Amino acid sequence: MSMTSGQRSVCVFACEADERVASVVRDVARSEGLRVVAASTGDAPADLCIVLMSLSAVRDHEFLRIANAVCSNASVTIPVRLDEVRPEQAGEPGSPIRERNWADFSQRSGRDQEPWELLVRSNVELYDDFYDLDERTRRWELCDHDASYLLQDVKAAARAHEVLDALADDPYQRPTKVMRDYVEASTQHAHRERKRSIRNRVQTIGSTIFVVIALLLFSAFMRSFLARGSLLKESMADLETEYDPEYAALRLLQIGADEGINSDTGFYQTIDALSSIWKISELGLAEAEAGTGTQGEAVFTGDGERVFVAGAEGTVQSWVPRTAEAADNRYVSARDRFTFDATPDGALLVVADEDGLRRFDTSTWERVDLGYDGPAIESVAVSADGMRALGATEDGIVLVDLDDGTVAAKLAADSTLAVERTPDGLRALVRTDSDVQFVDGESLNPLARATIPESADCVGAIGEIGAVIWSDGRLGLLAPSADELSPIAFSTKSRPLDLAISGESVIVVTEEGGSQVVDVPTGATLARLGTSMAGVVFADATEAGLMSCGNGVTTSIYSLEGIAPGDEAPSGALVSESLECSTSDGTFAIRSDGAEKFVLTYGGKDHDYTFQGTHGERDDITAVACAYLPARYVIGTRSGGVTTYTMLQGEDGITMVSTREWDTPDGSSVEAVGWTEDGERLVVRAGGRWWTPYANSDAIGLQGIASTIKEREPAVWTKAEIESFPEDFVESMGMRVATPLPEPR
Amino acid sequence: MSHVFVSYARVCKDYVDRLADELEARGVPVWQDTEQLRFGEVWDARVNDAIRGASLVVLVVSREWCDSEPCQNEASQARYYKRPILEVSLERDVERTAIQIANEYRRVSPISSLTATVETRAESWLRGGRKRRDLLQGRSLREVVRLLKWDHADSILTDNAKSFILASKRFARIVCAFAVLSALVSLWALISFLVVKIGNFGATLIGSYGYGSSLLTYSSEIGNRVDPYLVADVTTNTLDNRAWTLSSIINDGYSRQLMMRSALDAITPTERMDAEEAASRGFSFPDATRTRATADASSITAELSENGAVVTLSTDGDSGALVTARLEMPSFDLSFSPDGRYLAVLGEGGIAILDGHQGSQLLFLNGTQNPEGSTLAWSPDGSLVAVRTPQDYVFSWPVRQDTTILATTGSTFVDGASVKGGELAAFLASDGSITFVDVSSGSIEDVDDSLEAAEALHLAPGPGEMDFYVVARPADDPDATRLIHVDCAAGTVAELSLPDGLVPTCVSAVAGGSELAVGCEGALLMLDATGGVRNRVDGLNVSAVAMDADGRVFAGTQSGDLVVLEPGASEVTCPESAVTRGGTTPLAIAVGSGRAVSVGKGTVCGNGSRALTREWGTWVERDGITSSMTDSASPYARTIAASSDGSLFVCGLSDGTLVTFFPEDGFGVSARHELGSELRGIVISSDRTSVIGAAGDGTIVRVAVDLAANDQQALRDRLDERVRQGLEFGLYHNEADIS
Repeated sequence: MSMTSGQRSVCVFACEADERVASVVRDVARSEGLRVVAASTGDAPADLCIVLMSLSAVRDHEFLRIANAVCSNASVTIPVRLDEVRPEQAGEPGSPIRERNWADFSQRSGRDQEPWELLVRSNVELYDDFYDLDERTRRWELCDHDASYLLQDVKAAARAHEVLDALADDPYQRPTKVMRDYVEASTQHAHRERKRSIRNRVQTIGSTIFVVIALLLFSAFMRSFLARGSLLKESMADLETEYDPEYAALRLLQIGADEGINSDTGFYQTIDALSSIWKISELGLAEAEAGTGTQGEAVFTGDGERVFVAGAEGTVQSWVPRTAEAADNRYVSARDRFTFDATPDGALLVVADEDGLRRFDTSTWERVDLGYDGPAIESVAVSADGMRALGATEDGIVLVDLDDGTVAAKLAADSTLAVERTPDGLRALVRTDSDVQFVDGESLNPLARATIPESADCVGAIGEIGAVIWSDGRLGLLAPSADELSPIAFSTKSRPLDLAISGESVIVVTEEGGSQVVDVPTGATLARLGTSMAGVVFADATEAGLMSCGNGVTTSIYSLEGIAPGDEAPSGALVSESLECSTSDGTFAIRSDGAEKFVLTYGGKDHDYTFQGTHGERDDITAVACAYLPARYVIGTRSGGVTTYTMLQGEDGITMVSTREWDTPDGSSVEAVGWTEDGERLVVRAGGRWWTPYANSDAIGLQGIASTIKEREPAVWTKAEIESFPEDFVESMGMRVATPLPEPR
Repeated sequence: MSHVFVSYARVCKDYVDRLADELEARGVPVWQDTEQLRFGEVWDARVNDAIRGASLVVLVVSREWCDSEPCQNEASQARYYKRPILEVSLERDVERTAIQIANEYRRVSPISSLTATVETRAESWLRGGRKRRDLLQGRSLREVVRLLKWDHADSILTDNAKSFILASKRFARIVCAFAVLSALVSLWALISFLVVKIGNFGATLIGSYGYGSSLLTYSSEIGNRVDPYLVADVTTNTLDNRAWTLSSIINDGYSRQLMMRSALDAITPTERMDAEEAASRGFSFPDATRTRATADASSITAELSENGAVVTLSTDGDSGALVTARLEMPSFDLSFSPDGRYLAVLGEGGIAILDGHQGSQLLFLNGTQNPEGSTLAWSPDGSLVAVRTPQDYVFSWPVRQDTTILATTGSTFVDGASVKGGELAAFLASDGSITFVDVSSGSIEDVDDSLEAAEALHLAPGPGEMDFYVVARPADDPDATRLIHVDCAAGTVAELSLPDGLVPTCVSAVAGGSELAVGCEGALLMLDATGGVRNRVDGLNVSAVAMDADGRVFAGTQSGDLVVLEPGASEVTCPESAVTRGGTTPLAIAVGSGRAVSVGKGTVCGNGSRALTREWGTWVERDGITSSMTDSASPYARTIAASSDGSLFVCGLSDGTLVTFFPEDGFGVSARHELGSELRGIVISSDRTSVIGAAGDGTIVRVAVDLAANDQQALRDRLDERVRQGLEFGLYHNEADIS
């Protein structure tokens, strides 16, 4: 049995003289199931080529030439010696026939078939492999079955198996048991080695992959870390104490605390930050960070404890402004564009859109669709008792009964500048041609009117003081009973995006100026709000002094306390109107000559000082005050400047630390200075009005600064801001991440 | 050193013993069995090992040797292990045989010894389960590989030995690779550790860095309020202080430049003259201070409050004040510039320059102490303002140091573009007219009125020298916003229709190019010159757009995102590190040198400005114009331009401040607030030395680019000059303890 697949082919090549014998051989081959083919020197050689060699053959040179060629071409060639011919006669040394092992049939009869049968059945092509296996087996046996003599390769062992199987019935070379044992042992050994090799490779590859993955992960981590670091660096590249004071103050504190960097400059920079306007909170930070924030106009309850903010897709968000906690999120309209208002107690919400008018009980959110069938309401104000709503339509105003939605009254106008609820009731500001009327929202009678150029563009807002109107760059006040606009000394380059009034302050939102709080009586800019926000477009305010400014994504909440003046001093305030003041126990005193000199008395001694302004200029002192716990004094000047110092007892004596420099926004001279009862704020009377900016007196040393910041910091922060600080710092300062809105219902 | 194995028949033992002695005497180690090791069915492994490890196998051939099966096995083993074999005859003299063997041994020993070692090691390796530790390593392996390369390993090694060497080489490669990897990992770990450590330190360092940087600017800001000469002197001393140079964590190029820039923020007098010279130069000082002044040009009256803390502007004939401006210090004199553009207000600590219409403060000039009785005067051309002290010293400051008013028109400019290879600046007014200004001379060359618009919004250059694409609301259809092609040479206008009724919001094109990018409400379009759509990306509410010379488009969206549309791409790419901050809608984008900078809402206050740069093949978003670059409190900006080589960007803020910066350098920033009106169109001259701008109030100006902002030495020279001037003017006495 041969290893070759399919029928084996044999060619029998002989010279003419030996053709008879060749014929016998061919017949034998056929009978053995071989396919007899003609000798070929080209393609498709036979598997076995038997060349009959005799003296006659070697004399036939042509035959010899062809025989050598056939022999070269065939897979296996067996020259068969028929007579005394010798291999040396078959050609030159190195010629194929000569160098083969010859079978010697010279002693047999050419007709004898049996030897030919054995010959054609033999697997001569496998004999080299057999001899090799035999040698290996012998060596293996001799060397006590040393595994190193086994076949190491699986393929070699398989091949050896095939050889043994092929030679199982070979007439000349049959495998012995030892050979079979050897091959079997080799097969097992080779498989073991292959498994081990595969295992090793898998381990190597696995280790490599692990290392590469580790490197990649680490690289990604480092990239992220460095990217964060880079963003952190960018976020800190400019510590804006004026425009982003809350974050700047915390950052300055954190660095100062962590790095022990305690420089005077750093301290004063922190004081600067503390002296800027801080927001109470910012609503919608979580949604803004997620990229889904949408916030529109805001409506406060009368006590400022709740604020409703228009959201996306017809929702109204309910927030606690001081804590930035989201109380609720409700669908109130099927439209994206709608307007709404709430009663002062927040119990009732009235919503108007193209689909009509409806009210909601905010405790149950029960919805009542009113049968209002008037023109679409673009802006709405609801009365304090929740019985009526004043709506602005494209052709005037309508007064609607909130019981059933019937129109109780209407007033035609070219445009409605504002509708609002004031402590005096519903009010509207309407315009027809050049006539602007401030109207009582119940009776729809004009309370005041003014004339503006017909072509002039105008924007208006309503508050307790009346109506503030912007027209052609100028602001004016239309007070009740007035018949003309009283100019407010404030102008803008562009049309305001929004106006809102609180007390005697109006918030003016413009593209070029942002959100500015303007003092109506003087036109002075009291403050700029939302300086860390971009694109402020909304402003809202309460009479109680809460303000909001929004950019369509988030809404910042501010308090007017400390920004706008009041008519009275805060209860319990300790105020001095004179140029002399001393503490009740007499340990500390201050006096001034009314020019730039002042004297501090402490430790039983007088210490002389000269007041210098921001640019080193002189100024006349108009009022002084001092207090203790902590020991501090404050100076007010003719030009409206106020400076307060806290006195520190150190190793080198008393140090004066300036904790606040403040100027009256309207430039009025200081008439009296002091502090609130708790010392947290300054109390300044200037121009007949009372101002209460923060004193920062306790913001001394890291502890003092930390506690001052902690009391004032906004209610919530974004996640990115929180993560930009060390965890322990965040915890110590009580910083909270903004919580997301509940899903709208 | 390996040995000679002698195979012999037992009967020849005496001969072999003598032969062994001779060989030993010649320094050739001999292995001969001394026991009956070779008999029995199984060979003693020692014999096998000895043959394998022999440099030379000597066969003492005799008749008995030929008949001995063990001897034949030895010969067979020797051939198997391809040991050099020497046959010697028993007949020969022992000494001569020994010499022959010794010579042969020495001849074959170098290689043979090596191969013997390899065979022996291979055997151990196989027996030991192919453990890696048994493989050849290091010098041994190198030596083997080197020698066998030239000595045809195939013919002198068994298959096992060859496998052994192959495995050794493979393992050596793996070891080497792992060594490299390990080294890399170790290095990486070390660097990462340092980075993290430094990063943590650096998060604090960054904090410290930011802290330090802000300390630098803050301390300069505070110091400059009172004594800018002292600040300049302290700054130069600090920079020269070796101890600071060595120890400061913030002593790098950026910080040094920041220090110098901050110190130079103050505007100090540039001239000192006596009263006579001042008079000869046209400064007309009043005899007494004034609390009221009127600008003839604008009929605006300014009045100081009684305490000097407030100035109120009002118009004659109108009731009520225009604006009330709170002053930084009590002031006692004021004066309008001849053109009414500025109002100078004098106090003891300096001069506030206010916008003559809005009352907003543009500049603060100081460096002098102005006692009561000092008065103000302007130069006739309005470029200088001077103070005369009661002692008759006169100091003057340039008010428009870098800004030259080229023209005052009645147009409301809204946009601008560079045309004709940078020779001309084209400014679009809201009425649709286009004003052409020669960049070199600053003169108005032409005003084209081809387009009549109710409101024109944006301008982009067209394929020709004098044609443009304009986004506008035509006068005859003011409710619709259209994209219009204006050919100023031919005097024609033609609307380019957009598909699906898309409303254009902005447009951008490269001058002379064949494509334009149009931002719309709902899509970004790439059009050819005839308005054919070449590319379209839906789903974007585009607020700003810019195209670079490669056809790449940068677009800003209403929601505050910045995206990139690569040439031929069907989708936009969002940059890495993008952090969208609510409300920060881009309103203008400039592109140069592979960088795009956007400005819009929140520039500078609100962190709305962004820069896109390409890092490692990916677009990365970083901060653009930040509040550290300027004192301006502007909440937005609507115009930005880049020089043709992208090395300079110029942005006009809403309050009139002009910010120039060199992004490649990263340090060079300059901000000028010499105008109260916002520049809406900016064109940078081709040599980058100046900017031609058109403001919303119709003013056309040239502003010099402060190239020194990019040059540390120039900044240093300015600081030195400031100190020198202070000393020369008698305004600084160098008495402070600078330490």
